[in-house]
Amino acid sequence: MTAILGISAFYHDAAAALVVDGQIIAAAQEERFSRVKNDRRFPFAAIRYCLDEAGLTPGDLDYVGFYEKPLRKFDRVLETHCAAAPGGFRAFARSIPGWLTEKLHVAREVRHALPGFSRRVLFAEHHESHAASAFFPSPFDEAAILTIDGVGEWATATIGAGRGNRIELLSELRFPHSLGLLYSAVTSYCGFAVDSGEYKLMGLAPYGEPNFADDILQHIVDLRPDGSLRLDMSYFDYGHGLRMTSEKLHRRFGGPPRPCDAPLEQRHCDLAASIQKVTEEVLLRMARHAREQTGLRNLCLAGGVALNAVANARLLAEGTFDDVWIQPAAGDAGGALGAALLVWHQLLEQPRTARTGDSQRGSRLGPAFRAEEIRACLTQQGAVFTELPDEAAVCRETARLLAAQKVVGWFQGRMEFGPRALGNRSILADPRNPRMQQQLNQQIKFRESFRPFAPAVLAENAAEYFDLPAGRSSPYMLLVAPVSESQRVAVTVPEPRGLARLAVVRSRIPAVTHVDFSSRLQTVDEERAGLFATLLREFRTLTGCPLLVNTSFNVRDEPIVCSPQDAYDCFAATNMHALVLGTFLILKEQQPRTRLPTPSTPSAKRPRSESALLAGSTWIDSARPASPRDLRIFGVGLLIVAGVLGIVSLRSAHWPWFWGSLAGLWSAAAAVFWTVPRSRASIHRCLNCLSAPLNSMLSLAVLAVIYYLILTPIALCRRCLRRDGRPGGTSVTYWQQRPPNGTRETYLQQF
Amino acid sequence: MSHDPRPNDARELSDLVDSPQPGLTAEFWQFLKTNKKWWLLPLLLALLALGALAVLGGTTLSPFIYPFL
Repeated sequence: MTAILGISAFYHDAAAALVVDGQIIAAAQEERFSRVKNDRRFPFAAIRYCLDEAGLTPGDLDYVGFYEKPLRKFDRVLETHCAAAPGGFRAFARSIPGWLTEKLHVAREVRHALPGFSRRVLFAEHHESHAASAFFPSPFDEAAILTIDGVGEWATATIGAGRGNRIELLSELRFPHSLGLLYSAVTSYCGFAVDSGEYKLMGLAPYGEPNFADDILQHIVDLRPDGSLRLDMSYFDYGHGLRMTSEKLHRRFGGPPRPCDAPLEQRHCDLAASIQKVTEEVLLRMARHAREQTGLRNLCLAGGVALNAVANARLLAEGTFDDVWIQPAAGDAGGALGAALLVWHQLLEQPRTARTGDSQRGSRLGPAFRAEEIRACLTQQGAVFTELPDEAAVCRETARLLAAQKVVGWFQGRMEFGPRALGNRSILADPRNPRMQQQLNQQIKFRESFRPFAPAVLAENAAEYFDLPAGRSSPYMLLVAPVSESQRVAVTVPEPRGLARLAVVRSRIPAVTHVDFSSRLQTVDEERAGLFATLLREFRTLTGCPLLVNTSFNVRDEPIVCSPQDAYDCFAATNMHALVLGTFLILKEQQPRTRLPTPSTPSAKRPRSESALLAGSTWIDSARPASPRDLRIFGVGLLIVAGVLGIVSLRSAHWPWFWGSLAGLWSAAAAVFWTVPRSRASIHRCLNCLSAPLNSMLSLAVLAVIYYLILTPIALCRRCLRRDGRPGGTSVTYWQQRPPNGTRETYLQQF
Repeated sequence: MSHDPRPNDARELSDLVDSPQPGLTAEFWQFLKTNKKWWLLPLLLALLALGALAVLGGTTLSPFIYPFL
């Protein structure tokens, strides 16, 4: 048996994935366990889950793969700061602590997470991990590979080829010229959080006209026929400051960025439509170039941009490739899976046979919970529940509730890996109800009213409702398709402007029909989602409608639920009518009032309006609890400091009262620490908190010295000598050829 | 997709991951040598020194470090 753990962390959406003998056993994002949306911290909980799922201990692991090369990325960060010097100290002071304390110490973090695993960590390149996550689970023997995201180490997009058990990246675009960052910059400008609000912008696009698209292509993006691009960086600030966009871009777009709580204007809708049009154009050109460069007929896609379902659908419709497979966890979380698969196939040279089935296993790769665990949770909560006899009864009863216009929380089997809920952690509702979209947005999800919902439709009925090309399916909700003409209804009211357009009934399934008649659909089949398919069939039997609204089981700005407790908490805090946890049915009307909080919008957390690219870190994680060993060391430290201060106070000719008092204080702390064991953690925490402000001030001063006395002179000299790598004029192509794959030894290196 | 591992290939990678882990400083040095980015050296030295302090500061001993810096 060969067990390989893949890890992604420190940028956004940290995750772990476990591959045993080439089979994907488990994969999960850290946010689901920590309950911090897009959690970027090292995925201790996700790693623990993956090992538990396989019944392994850290010592049983053969290899650990990390999804990118930290030193190469650090090199890019330093070069970017040099390019900005002397004007970017704030960004420098914000980013460097995180690098020095955690991002450069992956091996140390792995040792903490995996006591008993003593081997070296293997480091893949960021886009190599994306490419591996796209090609190895795909059903193709050989395929072109396209990866597009914000930025990895230096690459922002790559074209490659996968054949058998090998992938090779052939060409790349390099930072700061990035389609992903361009999309994120406009996301930020429109007031949505970078790294999580991009899909909101995609949902906003149909409300607008692409009036800014030509402007963007003429002034901001130099787009070549082969899809390579160069951005005019005077419009952006992500290389220099703490914002994504510059004043120059604000002037071109007609005003300052929208604050996240300000109303959306038609201008924002038009901008969303414009950047969507540009994105589609770039993606299509890149895909054509990938086809020409590789000569291959199928395409695998990954990277955050591959989550743009509208662009994906256009790519498929264009017919550049015979078929396209998109990694469901296309963002950085999928990099963990890619790193593990890369080790198995490419480094261990294990053969690969493309499957006709789904190697990704429907992306249901997260934790499942037994009936006893669910019962214990509900009992502890004092919930009133009914246990149904079997899954058939669960589907019948749930379908009956849905047909009665109830909103149901649906929690079954293993949690999905990736950003989409695919019918295991979903909120379900009747798509025929014209009021359902508004009800779900305002009373259940507490989110922006303009956002559309996605349908889950039985695969065998998909063609009746959607114009999905023959033979196509969308099991991972990564494609949009128009609602078919036969389902549309004549619009009898005058078409309103702006966001009010969503209220107009346009089809027989209005809750899942966007204003342009598009739907981001999920086709449900027996092989991947048997129970969900049964539920849809039951609903079809009752109503004649083989589809449901399927939205993720969470509220705004919170991660999708993982455990029965998370699901119950979400159910209790919203106006959901029913919750189905495995075979347990919980009806809101039956719950004792005292047990349920008043449904309300989630705490007024401001979404992050900055990119992880700009995110900062602190030096000390004072929230991390100290272990008993830590406390013992700390106690010894207290004694030593008290002793040293005592000697100083006895020998000092100046201020003996000051040194004496200080020695007395430290001695008292040491005495309490050693005589009252219960006080140890508190004393440790207290002194940690007291030292934190000092730490901040001193480290800021040291960073300023480094920035202004070392980095800035170096940067200015390089600029004078024209060694700063600034690009020259325009070029026929901005794709840069990549060197051939490295040897196995290069995967030990962090650069 | 399960296949019998090919022992020779596995052993080769296995030997590599069992080799001693170089320190961060050694990795930086290798990086500078490989990429000929010597201009980064003073910056990296300063940051490494700060990093060492930061690592100590992140341990349980941090209350003893910063007040006496």
